[in-house]
Amino acid sequence: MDIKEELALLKSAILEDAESVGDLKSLEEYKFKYSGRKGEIAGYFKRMKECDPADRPVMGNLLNELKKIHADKVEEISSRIAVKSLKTKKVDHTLPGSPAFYGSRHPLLLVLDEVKQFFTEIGFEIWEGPEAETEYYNFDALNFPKDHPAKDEQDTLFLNNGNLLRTHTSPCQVRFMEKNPPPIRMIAPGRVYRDDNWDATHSPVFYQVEGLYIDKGVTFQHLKGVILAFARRIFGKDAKIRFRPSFFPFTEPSAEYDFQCVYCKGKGCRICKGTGWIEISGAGMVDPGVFKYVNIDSEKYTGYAFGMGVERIAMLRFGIDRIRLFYDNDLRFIRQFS
Amino acid sequence: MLVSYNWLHELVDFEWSPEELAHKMTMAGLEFEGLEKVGNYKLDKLIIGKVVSAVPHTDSDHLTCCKVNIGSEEVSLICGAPNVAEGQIVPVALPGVTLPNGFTIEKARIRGFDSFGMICSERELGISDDHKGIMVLDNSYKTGAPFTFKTEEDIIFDFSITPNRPDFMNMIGVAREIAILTGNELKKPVISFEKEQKDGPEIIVEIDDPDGCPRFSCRVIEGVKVGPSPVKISRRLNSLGFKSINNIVDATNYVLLERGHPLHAYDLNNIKDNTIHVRRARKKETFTTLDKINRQLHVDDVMICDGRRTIGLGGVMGGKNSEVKNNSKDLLLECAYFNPVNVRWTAKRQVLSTEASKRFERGADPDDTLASLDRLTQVIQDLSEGCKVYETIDKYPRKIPAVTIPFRYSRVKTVLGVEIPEKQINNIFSGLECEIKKDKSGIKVTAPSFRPDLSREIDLVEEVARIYDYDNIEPVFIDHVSILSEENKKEKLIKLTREIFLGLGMDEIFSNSMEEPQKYPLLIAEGKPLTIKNPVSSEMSVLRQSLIPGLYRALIFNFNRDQDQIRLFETGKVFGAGIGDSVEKDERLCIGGIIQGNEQPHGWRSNPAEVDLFTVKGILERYFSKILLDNVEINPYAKLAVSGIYEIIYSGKRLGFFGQIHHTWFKIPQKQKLFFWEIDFLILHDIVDLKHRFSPISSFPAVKRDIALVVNRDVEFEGIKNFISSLGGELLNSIMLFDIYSGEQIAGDKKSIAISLKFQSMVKSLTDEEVQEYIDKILSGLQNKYQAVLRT
Repeated sequence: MDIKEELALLKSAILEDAESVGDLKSLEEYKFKYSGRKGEIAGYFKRMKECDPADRPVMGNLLNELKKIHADKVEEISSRIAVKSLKTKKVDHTLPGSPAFYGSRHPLLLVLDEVKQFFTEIGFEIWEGPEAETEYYNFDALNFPKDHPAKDEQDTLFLNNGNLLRTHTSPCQVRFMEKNPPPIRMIAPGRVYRDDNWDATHSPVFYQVEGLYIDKGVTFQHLKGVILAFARRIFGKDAKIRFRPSFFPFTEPSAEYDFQCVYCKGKGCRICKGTGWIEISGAGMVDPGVFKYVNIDSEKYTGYAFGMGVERIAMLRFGIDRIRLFYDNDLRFIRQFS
Repeated sequence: MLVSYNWLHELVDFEWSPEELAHKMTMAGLEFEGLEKVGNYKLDKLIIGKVVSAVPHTDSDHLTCCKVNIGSEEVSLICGAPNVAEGQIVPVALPGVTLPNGFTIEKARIRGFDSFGMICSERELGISDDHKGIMVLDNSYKTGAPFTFKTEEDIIFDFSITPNRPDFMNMIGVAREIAILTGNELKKPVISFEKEQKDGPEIIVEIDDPDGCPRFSCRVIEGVKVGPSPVKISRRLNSLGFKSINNIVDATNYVLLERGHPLHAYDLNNIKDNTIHVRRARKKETFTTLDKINRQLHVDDVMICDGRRTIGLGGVMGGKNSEVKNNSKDLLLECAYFNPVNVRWTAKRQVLSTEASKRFERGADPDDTLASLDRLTQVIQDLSEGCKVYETIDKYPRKIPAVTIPFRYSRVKTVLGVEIPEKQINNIFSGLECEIKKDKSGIKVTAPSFRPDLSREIDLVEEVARIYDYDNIEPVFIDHVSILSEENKKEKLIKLTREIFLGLGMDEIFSNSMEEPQKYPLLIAEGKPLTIKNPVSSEMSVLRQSLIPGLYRALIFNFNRDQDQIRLFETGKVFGAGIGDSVEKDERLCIGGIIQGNEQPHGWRSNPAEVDLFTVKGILERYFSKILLDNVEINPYAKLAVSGIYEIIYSGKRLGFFGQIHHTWFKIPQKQKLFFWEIDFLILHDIVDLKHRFSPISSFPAVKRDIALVVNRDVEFEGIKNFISSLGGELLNSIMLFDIYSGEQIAGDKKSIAISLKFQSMVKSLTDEEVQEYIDKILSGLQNKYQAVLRT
């Protein structure tokens, strides 16, 4: 028989056999029969040597064509089998996906990130001062009168080396102004300490952010502006603020500022103790007495300073009712945020 | 500070509701803390009773022994009232009840007869001053029911007062603020009383210590009758937190509440030699104050003495030896001004904060001593008719000058931003009782003597803002052009670090930086911890020197609450005496972590391995590669008694440590292994350069070859890796270890290392032959250096 006739028969065998292949096992046999290393197509490639050299290119082409026809059929059959098996074999898609560890941000630091983000966006730089402070920076340079009851209100924790744990982040104002001439726009986040026992809203250690803005022409109106803008960022565009007179030796006029209660919208509820307002922290215009300590001319420059209790804001933001939760590090708590 | 709504109404007209008053005062700087309505009483153990029998006491001409049915039982008691009679319905106070005048009923034994309660008069209940006899109720009152009654209704406000405002610590001060805000007149009581024309007994007043006591004023009153106060006064004192003692002491407290200046009444007969002598305490001197406590004095304490003895602790509390008693007749009334600093320290040293010391240490009004004495005299004369009042004696050796402040109207706009008309500013000042004089550049303002907080222009600006109302100062937004030009590298690195560890599956924690002293070996900090002198508790007595104890505590907290696979990290400061030479250098920001459990979470398809040293090392390797830190070395840390701790070194600098938590440091839960790491962020920050640079990517295929080598067991992988790397040239793209084996098929002192090598060129497709050349070179090199044999 002419080799070309043989190849024609082989071709029809490939096509015919393909019809009867129905499962993976017969597909393997089908592949092996024709395209395996010892398969029929390979056999013809070997026999090419016996052929007339002039016929070899034609034969080569024919064989490659058969190889392709076979490969196409294999492809066709295997996808047919796959479709068929998908239809018959059911996957339990309700099984859980593969698990992986993924960490959660601590809610306090999450809120701190937002505070930093806001103030850096409006041109404040971030600076940090020491937590173990000297009496000078924590009190004297902040214009605390010597031997005044105002110091008693701070409930200071003292260290055995003669220093103390800062009771507020305000020492950062002085430290920063000592090193940087105006204009100044700075926030200083960090921990502060008080001789205070744990209760729902008090903690012996808590996180504060100090803000300071010194320039020509800065007024109390700008202070109210920046706090309002911040309140809107954290609690939405309807946020409302309230400033009321207070006393801090390092600011004058001094104020406490409140946010309108985000839960009752000012109507009065349990969270705001019926007042409609929630106290956030203190603020005011930098006292000329402080400027004197850092050699800034209070006739030329004015400025505002404010504090901000990060726990307080986070508690409001997430509806957390106990400050202690921030320090227990209960994963069932931490993982609720992120 | 408690404030009476009714009393305020006597001093100024206003129509605000209690809620409005609370709000207005808060907005004026007198923060509202709460209120209480008084006047309607329903007291536990104040019961309606029926007198079952009333028999005169055999041993007394005015006492009656009664049996009273109080519903549930019959009680025996003694009654001193003349009108008590069998069959009466009466209010009965049983032991344990405190009456509105502050008096607490106790079980008593009177002339051999046990008395289990008291039948009350109207005065005892504070209903009226009627004390002729007990209250007799009509038949509509049910025996055994609680007795409810009404007195004058009032609302008591609690305001918190900032330390700069002593003038707020009295009713007139609060009323003054209302007067300014409403524009109504402040109606101070008009003072008038009858004074003797002739001189009274001579009193010698000597002030040795004009620093401690710049002014001492006093007055003699003769022939007073000490007795109970009328209910209006006792009730008012009571609702404002004072106990009613007697009409004289009550009068001093009443005037104190009204005007704010502390006053004291001495029994004149107990003042020896009619002499008052003010001096500093002597060394080791002691003194018994009114509260019967014998106190060790300090040489800075200011003492009031008579001719022979000490009779008062100046500005804080009077002495037991000169107090007004029920039989006192002649009095010396004192109104002095004490130095705030002395009083503050005396009160602090003695841990004795009194109504007087609270006011003196904030600053009383030195100019008000005579007026306060006059007002006290008036009240006493009202309460004890017929007493003789003599002229005041006033020693004022160190006059405290009034403060005059130059004030520029323009400063208001500079500081507050708003324009407030000059006329309005002037009105604010006069409302505050400041005197104004016109001046070339503005005005000169003299602050009233009761406002020690007003001494500078800025203080006046604040007053203007306060009365103008902070609410009326509109917020203004600034144009925000950043002053910054440089990015904050530290902040950026911290942020990135936290993101990386979160992504590596670790939860972020935040722990207390105060803790109890630890057994944890010092790694990053050195020396003794910083100790807190007055810690909140012993669990918070030192500042942490490492993040590891806090991480451990958090891990255990969660482990004990059925959590597993705990992976935590924290960024925070550690403290160490001896790290640096200034407070700033003494604090180091660190990053630490702790892990427990498995390498991967349990799933239905996997059974992950337990965490070990290489889990931590893997976390750190990924972290360092993300912050572009190559060539980090790891060495065993030999300085500790325990092994398994490694130091992390970068070009000779130690970045930190990692390893296994040892059971001698902390208690480890059974069958658990905990691994930690801690890095000194400040050192890391100096090294890391986050400037990413692009390196080109090959577009040609890579050729992968796996080789398995048999080497001696003690050969370290890193040496082999570096050696292969040096032989592989730049085409050797990566070296990946994928198996380590030692066991049956390998000689006992050998191990098999399986490595996958990947070759890739930037300029062409590599052929098998080219790659084989490198493989041969690598294999023969390894054979020479490590006697490594290709495993077959």
